[in-house]
Amino acid sequence: MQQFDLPEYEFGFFDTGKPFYSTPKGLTEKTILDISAMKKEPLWMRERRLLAYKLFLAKSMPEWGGDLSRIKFEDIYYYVKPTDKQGRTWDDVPAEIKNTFDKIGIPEAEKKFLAGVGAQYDSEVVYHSISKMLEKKGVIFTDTDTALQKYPEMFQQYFGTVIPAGDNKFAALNSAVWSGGSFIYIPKGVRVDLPLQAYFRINARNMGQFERTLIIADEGSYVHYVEGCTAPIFTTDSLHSAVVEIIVKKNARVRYTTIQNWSKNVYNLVTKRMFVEEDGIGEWVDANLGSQITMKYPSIYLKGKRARGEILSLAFAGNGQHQDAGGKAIHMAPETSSSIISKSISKNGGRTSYRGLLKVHKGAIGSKSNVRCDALILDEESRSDTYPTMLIDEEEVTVGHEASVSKIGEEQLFYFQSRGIPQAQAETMIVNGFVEPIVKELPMEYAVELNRLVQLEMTGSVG
Amino acid sequence: MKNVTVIIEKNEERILPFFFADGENCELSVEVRLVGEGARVDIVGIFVGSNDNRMLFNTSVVHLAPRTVSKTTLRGVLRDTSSFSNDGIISIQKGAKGADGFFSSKLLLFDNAKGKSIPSLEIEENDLKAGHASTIGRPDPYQLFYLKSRGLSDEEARRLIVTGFFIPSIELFPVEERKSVKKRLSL
Amino acid sequence: MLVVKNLYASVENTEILHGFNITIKPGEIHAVMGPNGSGKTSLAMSLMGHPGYVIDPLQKPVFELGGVDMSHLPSEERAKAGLFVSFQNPVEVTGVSFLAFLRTAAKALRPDEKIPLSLFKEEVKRALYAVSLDESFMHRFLNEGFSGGERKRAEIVQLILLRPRIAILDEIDSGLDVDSLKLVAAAIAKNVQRNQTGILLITHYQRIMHFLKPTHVHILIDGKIKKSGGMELVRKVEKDGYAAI
Repeated sequence: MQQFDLPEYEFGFFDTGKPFYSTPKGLTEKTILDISAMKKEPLWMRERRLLAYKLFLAKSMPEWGGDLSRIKFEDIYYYVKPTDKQGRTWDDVPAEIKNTFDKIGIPEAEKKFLAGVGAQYDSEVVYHSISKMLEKKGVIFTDTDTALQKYPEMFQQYFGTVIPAGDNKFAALNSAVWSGGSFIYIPKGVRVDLPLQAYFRINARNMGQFERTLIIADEGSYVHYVEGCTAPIFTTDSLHSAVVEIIVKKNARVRYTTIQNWSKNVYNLVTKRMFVEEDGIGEWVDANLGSQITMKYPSIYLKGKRARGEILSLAFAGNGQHQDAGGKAIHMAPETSSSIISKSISKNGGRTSYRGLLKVHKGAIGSKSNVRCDALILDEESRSDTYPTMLIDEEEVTVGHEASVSKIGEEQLFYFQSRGIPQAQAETMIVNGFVEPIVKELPMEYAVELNRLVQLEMTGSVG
Repeated sequence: MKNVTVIIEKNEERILPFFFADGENCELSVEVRLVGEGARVDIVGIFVGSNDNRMLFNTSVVHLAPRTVSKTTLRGVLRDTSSFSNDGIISIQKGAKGADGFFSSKLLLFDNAKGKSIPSLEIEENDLKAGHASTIGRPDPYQLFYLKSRGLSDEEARRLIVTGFFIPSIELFPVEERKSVKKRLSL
Repeated sequence: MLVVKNLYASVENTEILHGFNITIKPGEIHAVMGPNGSGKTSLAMSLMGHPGYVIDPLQKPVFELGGVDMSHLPSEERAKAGLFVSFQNPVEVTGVSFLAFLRTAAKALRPDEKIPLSLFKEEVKRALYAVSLDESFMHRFLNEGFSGGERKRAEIVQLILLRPRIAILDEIDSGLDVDSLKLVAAAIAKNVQRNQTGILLITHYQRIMHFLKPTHVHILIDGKIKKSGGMELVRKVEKDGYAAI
């Protein structure tokens, strides 16, 4: 098989903007007190942070998945605040930051979608525009820090209820030092028809990114949230450890789409979970390219009768990368259903792992689940693993899991070549075809971007 | 836990049949190493659990040589509060070109039985075929309904479905053992 | 013009073709008939450069298309030189639409011809229509879920759009009902007439030859052409079988 050099990370640039304020490197109680004070947070949040810090210290590193031994917690900046003010309109955003966003294409996104842009620069959201349409409907779409100040009651009611600080070491870390992220509340019966989107970006050397997202979809509401990530190259390791909590109430539906393309030295360790109540629908669409190690298993807890969950997971691992991704579906109520589809591709020594959990609690009578994992291995140096776990405590269920691992078929390649299509292009087309079931679920511009990223990974150029 | 390791040499073909029923508990871990080119193994397991039987059956098939083939077929019917747990690994090591590994497990649960299945694939070679399929569930209610609509009692219908469930895997047993397996399953 | 001489080809170390020779001029239709296992598919696959088929270089083979030596070219370069093979069992490729595939192939074969997508779609529609396939086929995944007959017709759609100089059609007639066969034969004939395509028609059956009159007929037995002639050979096989040749 032909070899291609992976290109230098295309979005690998960082501007000269100096952060206005940052805590010193490393993590102590003092760091947390400083963060909390800087943000003028209520006491309860400060206490929650301190408690989470203790849990972080007490928890051990995960023993499965990628090799995390090279993360040096003492070398990370836990809080960087780039500007003092929230940008309300595009004109208010400092030119340097704008320049950075231009390269990622945020203005394009805004042109296309009136629904509002929440983009994270360093640890804090600096630019946020909320369209009148959303305000009129009573939708809250703001950065999480602002939400804590403006909607303290709702915030306290839901924060940490889906993913408690003690859930795992990195959830504890996030709970201790979180900054930024999106806060969304969709009132009863409100449908937001355009996807809400946010772009995240790590842009300071040794900077950790610990955003915290909380989405509450009230009864009968609908929202599709899209996050697209690109990040510049660093010379030292970088950590991204986010927490996303979503509550899908009765009859509501939330879809959360991620296209993640961190630069190849980032540790991407994210905890994402949804609670879905009666007749609700929760969906994760999660595409993982980039990063050095990703460990991410979006979860759906089906808590109410007939709740439904769907997870579409896509992973692409190139040289030196390990994508340990998957999904979890926990059936806790009768007649709940879930589906997990995972597609992974490994190339140039990359490693993909599917790690999944399917659990059916006693009493979740008539539940159904279907898990399908397909892996493509493109060359001799690469590897792929599948670790699905099924725990079934209820007999009145139907659950199935299927997995396959293969290389690109010789016959497929030959067929393309016999029609004049060179091997590299044929491989790209076949790989894009392989990921099509997931790409077709993305908004158009993201679908195009994802196909482009696959092409970039496959051939080293876009054209 | 009892551990068994089986080594399969060049061009050797082995069937490894396992049968646990009649209230036997089972705690077994089987490792098969396909070390020679063209080696093939068929692991067939039939498990019938009742009362509070605990059944633990792990399989690990390691493909170390080119064109090795493995097929693991596990079928379990669990009643009462019995439980079955399987950790099934197919590992295809570097150099095992053209290897073909497949794992399939199906569990039928009745009453308060529990099932656990972790079928893993660890693949370090790109010229291969590997897959697994696991299902856990109860008998299809439409099947039951269909049989009962033809006058079968619930018990008879269940038995017929269980028979149909096991028959294909019994065919994978060595010929000389099929009869006794059928007898013990009272088929 | 296609010139093939001294073609010895093997698959999995077994020699299947033992010195095959043929010359096809533009606009000629050559039929190669032969019993099962005579090497018909090996002929198509080894000429197209399937990685599983090896042409023996020691036999000093000649394999030229338009005066260009093809034997060392990768498959896509052979395609660019104007060679086309229709597959007996074309593979399914999930996620890749028939249209995207055709468009990519057409661009690869004729990079200078900049046809806008909208016009290309019209071409595809006409080609689909020519073999009585619904235009929705362009949005289906490549060969996925196509019936046997639909696959054969989809291969002809490719023949129409890619406009090769030499087309090797491997059992294009099997699995087609009479109506489809007529359409397929008409499409091939039109291609010959318009583009002076040379055809190598590999087949078991005489039926297609009643619609598509070959200029030359060859009987392939044990990897070699046993006899060449015209339609009278077809009638002989029809009457007495291959054993009589």
